[in-house]
Amino acid sequence: MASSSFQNFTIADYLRILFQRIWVIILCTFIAVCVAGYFSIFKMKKKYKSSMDIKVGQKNSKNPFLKTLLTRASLNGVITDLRDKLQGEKRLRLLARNIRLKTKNEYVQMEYLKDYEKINLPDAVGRILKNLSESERIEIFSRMELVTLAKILGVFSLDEINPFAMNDVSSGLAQSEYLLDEQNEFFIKQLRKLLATKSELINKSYGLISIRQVRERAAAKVNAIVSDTKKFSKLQKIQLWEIYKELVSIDRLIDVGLYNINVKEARGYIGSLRSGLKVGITPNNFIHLLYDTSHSSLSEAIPHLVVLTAFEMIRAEYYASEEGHRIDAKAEMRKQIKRLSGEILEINKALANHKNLINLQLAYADNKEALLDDDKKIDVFIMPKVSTHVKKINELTDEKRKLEGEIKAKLASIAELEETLRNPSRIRIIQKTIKVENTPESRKLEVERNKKMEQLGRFRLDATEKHPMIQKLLQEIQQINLSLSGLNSPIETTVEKEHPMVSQWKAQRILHKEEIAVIKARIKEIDRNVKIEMKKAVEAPKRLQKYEALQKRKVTLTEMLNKSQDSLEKILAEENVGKGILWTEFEIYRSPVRPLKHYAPQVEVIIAIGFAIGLLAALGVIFVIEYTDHSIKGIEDAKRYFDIPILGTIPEFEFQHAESSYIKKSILIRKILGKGISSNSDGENIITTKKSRYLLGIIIFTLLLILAIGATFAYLNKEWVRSYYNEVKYMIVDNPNEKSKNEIVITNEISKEKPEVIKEKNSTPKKEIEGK
Amino acid sequence: MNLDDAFRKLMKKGNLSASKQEVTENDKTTVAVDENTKVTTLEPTIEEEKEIKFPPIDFSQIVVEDKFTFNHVEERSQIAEEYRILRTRLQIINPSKNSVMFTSCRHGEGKSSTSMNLSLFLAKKKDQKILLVDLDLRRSRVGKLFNYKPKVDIVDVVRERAELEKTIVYSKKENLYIMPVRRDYSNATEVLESNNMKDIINRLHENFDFIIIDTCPCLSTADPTIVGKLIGGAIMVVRTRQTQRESLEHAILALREHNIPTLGLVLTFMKYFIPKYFYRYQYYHDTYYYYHYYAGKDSVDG
Repeated sequence: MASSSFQNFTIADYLRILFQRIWVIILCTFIAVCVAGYFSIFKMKKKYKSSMDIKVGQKNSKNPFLKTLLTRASLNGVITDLRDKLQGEKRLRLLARNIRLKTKNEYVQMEYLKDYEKINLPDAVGRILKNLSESERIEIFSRMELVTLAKILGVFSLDEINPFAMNDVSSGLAQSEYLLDEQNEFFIKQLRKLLATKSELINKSYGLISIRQVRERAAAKVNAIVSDTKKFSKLQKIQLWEIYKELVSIDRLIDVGLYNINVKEARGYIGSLRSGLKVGITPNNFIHLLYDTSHSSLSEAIPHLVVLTAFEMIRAEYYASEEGHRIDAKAEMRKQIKRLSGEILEINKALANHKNLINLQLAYADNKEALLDDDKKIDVFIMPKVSTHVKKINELTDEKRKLEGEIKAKLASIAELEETLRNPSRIRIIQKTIKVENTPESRKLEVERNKKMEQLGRFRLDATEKHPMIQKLLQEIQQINLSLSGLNSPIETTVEKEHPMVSQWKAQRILHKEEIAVIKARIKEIDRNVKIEMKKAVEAPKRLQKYEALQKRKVTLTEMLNKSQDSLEKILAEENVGKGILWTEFEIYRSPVRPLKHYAPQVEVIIAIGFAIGLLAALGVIFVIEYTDHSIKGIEDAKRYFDIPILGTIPEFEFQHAESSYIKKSILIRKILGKGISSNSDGENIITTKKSRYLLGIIIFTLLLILAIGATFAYLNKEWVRSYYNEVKYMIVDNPNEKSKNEIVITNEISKEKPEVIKEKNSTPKKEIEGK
Repeated sequence: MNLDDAFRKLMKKGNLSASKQEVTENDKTTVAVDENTKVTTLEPTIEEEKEIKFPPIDFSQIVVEDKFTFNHVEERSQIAEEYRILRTRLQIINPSKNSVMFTSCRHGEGKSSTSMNLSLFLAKKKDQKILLVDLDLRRSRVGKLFNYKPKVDIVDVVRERAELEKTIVYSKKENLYIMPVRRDYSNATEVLESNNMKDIINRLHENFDFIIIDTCPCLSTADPTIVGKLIGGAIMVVRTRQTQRESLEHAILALREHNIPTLGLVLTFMKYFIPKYFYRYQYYHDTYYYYHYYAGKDSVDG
């Protein structure tokens, strides 16, 4: 006998099992899809992605009170402290002690913070105001910057949200009585102004949130207060209440999370917000917030913590993106400033020198008014300089002329001396002596001797006695004389002698020459000096030009320095984005909008998952059924379990007895359903094999399912739109320029179009909602 | 394991006893049994004239109808072919007394419809006399199926209130003799156990070529075991996807206890969830189908 294990199973068997139990699959999947659809549509919390744009200005508020408040509330501190705070109550107390209020010049310790758990904020504000002097108080109220802050606060100071709104009215009023001073008219005027602006603001702010009822109530309230001028004392009280409600809300903003929010709630809240919050800053100081909300109304969706965390995020992202760049820029700017300032110092020194010179000249200048004219400036400043040089040159030239005259005179005397020395008659004295008889030899010798004498005489004119030629000649002459004395007999002869003055003349001549050389050197010196003086005379006007150039250079350098200083200041200011900008100057440019469609849960995906799970479950169910089912399914089973031969396999067919009215009536329907019955021409019923209409059935079933799902979705959407129609209308009014609501568009440009004015029939105050 | 052994033993016993009886009664019929193949095969036998103990039926007194009004099976449909296959296989098996009984484990598994259609297909041999007897006295169906209400039935014959010929109805068109039941009887077993019933069935055996008997379910009543002793064998009708295999085993065992051979199984309400060529027994199935289709067409139908 064959075993009952699944080893003998083939693909055909498995396929048969699947197709046999197809209704199980369909049922399981249907149930799973229904359950998934039900939970995803009705039960699970819907999440919407919303966004808001906030415009941030860069003005710095000058109000010291506000400034101190705001710096104290600078988000960096608050949020980090808040985060720490949430970790434990000890931290909370520490922080409470550390919070201080700064007035103009002094710190006022907030006493109430010592016992933080028993805090009463209206009381505390009252004390703060007590500590201030009257003038300070008036200053605070006179500043309209409080209004700008109220713009922000107006959004959140709804009665529904504000926890101290209605409960603390009485205590607030009681505390505010000390402020009342009916004689202080100025104070009252300021209050009125504030209220007038506040009514508008409330309209705006409530419009942003688009809760009509609250809005109208508030508007009516404000109108009543403003219109009833007769009840002045009460009015005052109410006004005061309004004002320090604002103050309270300021403080509440600062100390948010400390006072009226449970630690657990706040922690969860911040966590949920942080998970789905995205922030971006556009070039035009638009902050774009994107956050997830799982709350039903917008008033719940945007509490204070949203703003706090949002700005914390802004700061964080801003620093993360640009911190490194800013540090580099700062260092560069500081270097440049150092360099420029050094240059400017040097220039200043140079200019000081010039100034001293000028001052000295001014001291000697007769006409100080002449300095004002540019033409006369030259006479005053430049000509005296040049004239000194010219005088010197003239003196030098005179000297030169004198020296040249001397040289000429000396040269003339030298010439005379030479003339005299050249004349032999003047130099020589003739003496007569006894002559000796001349032989032909002696004569020849005599002729030679005469010639040599003549030569000697010429030499002696030019050269001294020690000259070698002269001595040579003298020796030859002596030899000739000796030879002649030996040959000839004495004869009467005439002897020539030198003039005794010749030596003196020669000495004089040499002296003259030496003197001339000295004078020439002196002249050379003079020429050099003249050249220098000439140069100086030419350079004198150039000094002024230098002075002017230096001044120009200084101007440019100072400009550069200013620029770099400005940029450095800018960079430094950017560092204080969180401190300066956040609280003082921002307005909601585009109010948060609840999108029409939620992004989570994704119904389609969940249904698909449900479908898959249903399939798996169906497979499991089929396995269990197949395992427990011992029925004979076909030939295979019969062969497997029994050895008896199978005689026939008769397919399923419809077989009722012929008289059955059940068949006769439903033949048409059975034909359509493929039950395998038809009627003959004789009126007899004819049975055929059944036609399988499984596929058609499945297709029809799935189509119906899809239709049903589509219909439910359509219905749901319709209902949704209907219920939020009013809100949607307001949203459109708030954002005339917005086109796509589901998508997030970061607007870089401020729209300058004028806002639409909406008039409604029932509402008493006219609402003007600005697009900007 | 125990079941299997019991099964085999019973099979052997049943066959042996049947063959012995046959040998004693009719000397010239022999039965050979192959235990290995477990398929009963028959050697060709020579027919001879039997001794007639009971008086013959006077066919002139039988109620004759032109035709019955019932739900026809379409000639060319798959169902008709399946019935033809069943017919041919019956011929191969050739039950010992030329009679066959249809039973099942529980009611509503298709006994009446298969017996009716099979008899209709057998009756297409014009030279043979086929009789369909309704012995499901508790829940009679044959009369309703053929849309015929008889005035007297087999119970009246057993009680000797009427003659046998008046209970048999013949239709000319279908060439079929039927024995419908007038109404439902609560005391069916007593009726079936009586000696008159034995005589009646033996008498019918002698006068008809082939008898098909529709009986009660096997597990709920004892009727099939009583009837089964009188006839050649039983065919189990099994409704697929409903009949439990344990209950089928019990039913077969119950029949074996009374030495009634189960000649075979007929699976009804067959459904093909996937195309047929995926099935493992496609080859087996198709060969038989074509062979017998063409064989039957030439010899029987034509």
